Amino acid sequence: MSNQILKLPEQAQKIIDSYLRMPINNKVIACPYYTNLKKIRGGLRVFLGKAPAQEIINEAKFISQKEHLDLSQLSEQELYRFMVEHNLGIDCSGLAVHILKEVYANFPISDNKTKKINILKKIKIVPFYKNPLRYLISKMRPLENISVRVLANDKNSFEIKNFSNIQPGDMMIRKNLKHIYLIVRVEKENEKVKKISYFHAPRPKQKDYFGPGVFEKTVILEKGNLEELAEKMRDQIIIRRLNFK
Amino acid sequence: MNVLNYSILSTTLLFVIISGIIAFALAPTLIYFLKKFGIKRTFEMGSAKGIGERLQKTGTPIMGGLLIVLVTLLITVIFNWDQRFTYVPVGVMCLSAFLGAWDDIANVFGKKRRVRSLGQTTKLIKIHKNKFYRFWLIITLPWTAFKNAFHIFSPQPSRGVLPHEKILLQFTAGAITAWWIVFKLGEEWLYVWLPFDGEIYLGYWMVPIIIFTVIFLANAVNISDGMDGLSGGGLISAFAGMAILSYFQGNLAFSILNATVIGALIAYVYFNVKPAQFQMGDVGSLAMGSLFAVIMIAQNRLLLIPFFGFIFILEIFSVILQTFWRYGLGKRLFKMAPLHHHLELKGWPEGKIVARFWLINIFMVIVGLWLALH
Repeated sequence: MSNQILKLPEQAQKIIDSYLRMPINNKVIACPYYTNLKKIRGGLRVFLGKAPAQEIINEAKFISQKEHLDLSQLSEQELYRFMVEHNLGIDCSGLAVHILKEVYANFPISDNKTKKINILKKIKIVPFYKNPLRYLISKMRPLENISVRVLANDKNSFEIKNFSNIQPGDMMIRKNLKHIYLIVRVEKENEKVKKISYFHAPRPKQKDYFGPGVFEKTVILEKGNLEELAEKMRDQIIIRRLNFK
Repeated sequence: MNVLNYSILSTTLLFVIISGIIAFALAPTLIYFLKKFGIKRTFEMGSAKGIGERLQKTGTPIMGGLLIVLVTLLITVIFNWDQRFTYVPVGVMCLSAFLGAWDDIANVFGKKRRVRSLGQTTKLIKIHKNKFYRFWLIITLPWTAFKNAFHIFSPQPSRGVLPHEKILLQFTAGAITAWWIVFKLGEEWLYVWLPFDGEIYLGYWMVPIIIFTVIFLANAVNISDGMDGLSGGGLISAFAGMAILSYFQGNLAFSILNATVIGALIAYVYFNVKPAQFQMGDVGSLAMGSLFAVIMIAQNRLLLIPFFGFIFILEIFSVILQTFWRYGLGKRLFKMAPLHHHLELKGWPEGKIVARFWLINIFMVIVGLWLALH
């Protein structure tokens, strides 16, 4: 019986930790959820739900400085509320891209060889001939223009048909292309998937939700197939992997 | 170069003294009237309203720059009204001061205004029930496009002079300067001085360059006027450099004009250092920025502007870079632009920033003067 545990590279794990444990003054909170529902263009990425954790922390401190508010006096719940009310947080695709960026920064191509892949340069967002202006904008600000739909596009990723081949860094994409989960840990037993951990930033269902926005969850599988996973996650998903190696 | 012309030197110093005395005498009256008419800084003004000690500045009279403009105008008209050299610079200063005053007053008393977007206009053209109004919207569409072009980065609705109105008046000021320099001063102004005995013929390219320089510097000084004493102190060193330059060139009219501004600025800064009794406002910053540009160009030392106005150039470039970073890359380059706010947010006390900026500008003026001698 051979057991196999597959994990994300250390750098990618650090990115996950940075969102899960954001130190703001004397508190540590998980990053809230925020997405650019108003479709604001040209704003700071920190207000578009696409910024790295450190930028979100800096912005929270900056806003508190401007508003003469002592963040250390706030409870964790109030701190969440403060961040949500100031449109600070991360959305699912933003979170996935930041982690995938590190996954592919030193991507192993053989046992002792790695390749540096800058996914922000590789991901195709919009073709030049379709919309030259948006093409230029997407080249300047790729992060803000990568959505779940872009990641799920056949030009950027391919579907993993064989469930036992899944690995950390693969994307679990909701079939309606509205949400993305990122696989961060896979445990296999005799090539059969037994445990999957995923990380994601789901949109809160309640209107006034002031809790954590990013979550890591683990699903234990018995049959080890996609149907069982989808059932346990209560979601319709497909698994895809970025296809530039 | 006229290094030993004591007569020019003596007259220059005399005008610093005269102007300083008049400005010192007028300042308390101006402060009294600004307070009486309620021309004061409101909390709402400026993007930096929440940072540092901004709250304490609420209620400080603005339009203190009127002191410099009035004293300069008064002394120049009475003692230095030279048709060849002073009436256009002072005229441009007055035009910019008018624009600044309009902005300052509208910021305090004006209503918030909004520019209709191109999208809204085209929608109205399609659906408005009045066909004459639809026709009117069509023929004014280029004007709407022009207005929108200058509103991309400005908040809406906003008080004060709107960006397209500002740019039109500043363009007029620049165009008057260009007309005067290119067509009135003579052919030698079509050659731009280069250090180490060089010069380059620009011909009528001087026209756009002059217009751009006037608009650029007026806004640069305007942007730098964000801390007590900052722009005033920087301007003293810049005009002192120009006064020395005009003395080297043996140009009495410019020597007196620069000296007059220095005297008025000294009195202004005396009342403007922290805690300020009044602030320069756009009336002073736009006027001084334009005058600085006009005199530098008229003294044919265009290339020394980055040295004499170093802190102003630094400040405006911090804003340009921040804008590019923000809209182009979605990040902040500085915590806040202009640079003095960035340093303030980094924890530098206001006094330290102002003093260091003054010293840097003095040093750069000296570098510029050294270059001017070559």
